[in-house]
Amino acid sequence: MSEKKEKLLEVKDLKVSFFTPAGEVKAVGGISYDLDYGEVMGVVGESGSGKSQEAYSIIGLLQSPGKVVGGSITFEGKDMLALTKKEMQEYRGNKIAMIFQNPMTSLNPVYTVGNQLVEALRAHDSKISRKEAEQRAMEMMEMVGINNVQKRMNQYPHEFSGGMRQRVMIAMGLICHPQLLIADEPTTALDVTIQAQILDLMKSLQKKTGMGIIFITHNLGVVADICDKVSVMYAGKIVEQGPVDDIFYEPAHPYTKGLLRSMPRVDAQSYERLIPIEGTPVDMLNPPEGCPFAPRCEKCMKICLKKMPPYVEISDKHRSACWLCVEDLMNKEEN
Amino acid sequence: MAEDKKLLEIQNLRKYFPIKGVKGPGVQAVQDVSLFIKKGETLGLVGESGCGKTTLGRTILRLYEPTGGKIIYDGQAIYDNPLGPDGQPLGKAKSVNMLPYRRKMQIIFQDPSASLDPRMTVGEIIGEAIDIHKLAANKKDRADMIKELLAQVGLNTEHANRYPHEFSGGQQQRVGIARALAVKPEFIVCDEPISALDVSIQSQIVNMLEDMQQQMGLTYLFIAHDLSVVRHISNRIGVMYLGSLVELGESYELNRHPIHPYTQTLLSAVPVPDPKLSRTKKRIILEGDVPSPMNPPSGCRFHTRCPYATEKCKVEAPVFREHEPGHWAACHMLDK
Repeated sequence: MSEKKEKLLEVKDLKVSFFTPAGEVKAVGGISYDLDYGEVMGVVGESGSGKSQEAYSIIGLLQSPGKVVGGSITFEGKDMLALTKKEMQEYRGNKIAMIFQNPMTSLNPVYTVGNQLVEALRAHDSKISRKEAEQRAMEMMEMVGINNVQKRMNQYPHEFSGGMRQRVMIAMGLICHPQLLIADEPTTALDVTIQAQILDLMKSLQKKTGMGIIFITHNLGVVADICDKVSVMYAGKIVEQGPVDDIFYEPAHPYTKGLLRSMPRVDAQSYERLIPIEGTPVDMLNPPEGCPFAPRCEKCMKICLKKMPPYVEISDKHRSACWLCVEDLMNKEEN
Repeated sequence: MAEDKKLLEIQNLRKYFPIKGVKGPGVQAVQDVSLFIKKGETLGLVGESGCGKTTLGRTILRLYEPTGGKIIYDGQAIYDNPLGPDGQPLGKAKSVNMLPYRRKMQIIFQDPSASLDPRMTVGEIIGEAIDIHKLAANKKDRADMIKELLAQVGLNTEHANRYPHEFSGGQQQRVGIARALAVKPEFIVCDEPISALDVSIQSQIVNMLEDMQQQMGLTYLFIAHDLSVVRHISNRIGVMYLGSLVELGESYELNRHPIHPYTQTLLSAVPVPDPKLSRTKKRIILEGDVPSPMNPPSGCRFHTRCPYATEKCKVEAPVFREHEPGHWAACHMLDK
């Protein structure tokens, strides 16, 4: 029997809820995707769309009162939701690493950077000697482009600039050679010139190591730059998913279209008025029935307010959840 | 449309923040910036964090007292302390009572949740500005004005009785804008008014600011680090680096033909929401980080990161000159 090649990560119908005193907030309402080795998937969405919570649940970092209430997460064939806390530690930081948005609050201010890197390594490999670990930490820091490593190892996070700190975070994330890296808005707090440095670094490291990356961001420019495929999230649902070119050049969902249209383009040659998406983001405590985007959608139909649309395959790997796409499909089949 | 009359002009404006217990000038946040803004135009100001763009905006409004230089608003000097030949301010500054000018010059802040008093209702927040300048004849007049302002920024009348925390970020920013508009200003400093907002909300606010400018003939100083937004909304753009203005030009001209090396890098670093373009686009990646404004580099402040830096750049600061009509820059490379 030929062995079926496993995907790096498969998420099926994942549901995450927060049980707050005001009621249940369905932060993630049934999303599915998969990621292969060497692939970079962008997750785009507004604040509160559930893009971070979805990623936190993969490595068991959901904070109370958040809970995974349905679906499955399979990493290299292993069911991640069935793992005990102890077993999860084997994966977290080791096979799956994460880098966060704000490098200042994610580094410990009272330990030297070298100390924290060595700790990350020794926590997952009890056999490695301190000396060896230090050697590896220094190599890692060189790899992410930090100069003067000997001296830098003994410095504290506050002695590093924002961009340098994010490099340290990346070094720490990659020190155990993870297969999957989850990057939660890693460049949002940085300036554009520093952002360009970090994106360049991540691209080259990814080529070197062949890991998969989930890149969470709200910046579509960054997505176009680094991602192979994109999931667009709105109010806890993936409304559109597909290869990066399809999403940017043939967007199918009105929300994706609206997002792309509302942005001023840096390469525009003359003044064009922006076309905003009207309305305000969804109140997640009282989400609308049917499609969550319907109240803001200019093409909203009666059915949109009643029922959540199913996913429609527009082309290979490109799918979208919108009743308009369902209509298109039916028209096609009739002809 | 922009007229030719200069509404605001600053000459060699300087702002240092002294540091306690440390000798020397302290943090040199704004270093001798000169520019003017014409009536009805939008001047964009871009640069990385810490380059002094927010400080410049606040110093123009004298929310920070300048260290030296001159600010002229509508032909009237509101601050005057010229720099002597040694580069130091000559003496005591001449300045005016700002209260009448506060009516004409307003500001919209970056973080709407931090700039609205959480214990005041929206009606009180907007009404306070009306009270201070005694703009309403009676109570009814005042209530009508608040109502009208709320409508202007796309909020409902009932919203006047609510507290800031009951609003989303975009709505809070609308309140911040209504407060600035309450005194019927001529000039507004927009200090990163959209960077704290979601992408889908940003364009709503940008369009609203543009509409209000058209209707009321407002003049904006628009500060942001997002170049694509600044280019969209501005007639002209100024680029700052480490407290100095390095380039200033007409918006599209500056984007097509940036002449200062820093502007070129900044433009090339902006990620474009277009995958194919992004794959072919050549990026200039700068080495290193922005130096500290406490101890800025000698000569041209950009020389430590500039790919074209020469010996001269390390010693002598370049002069901010007009290289083409309306296109200014400070770089030795261009002076040859």
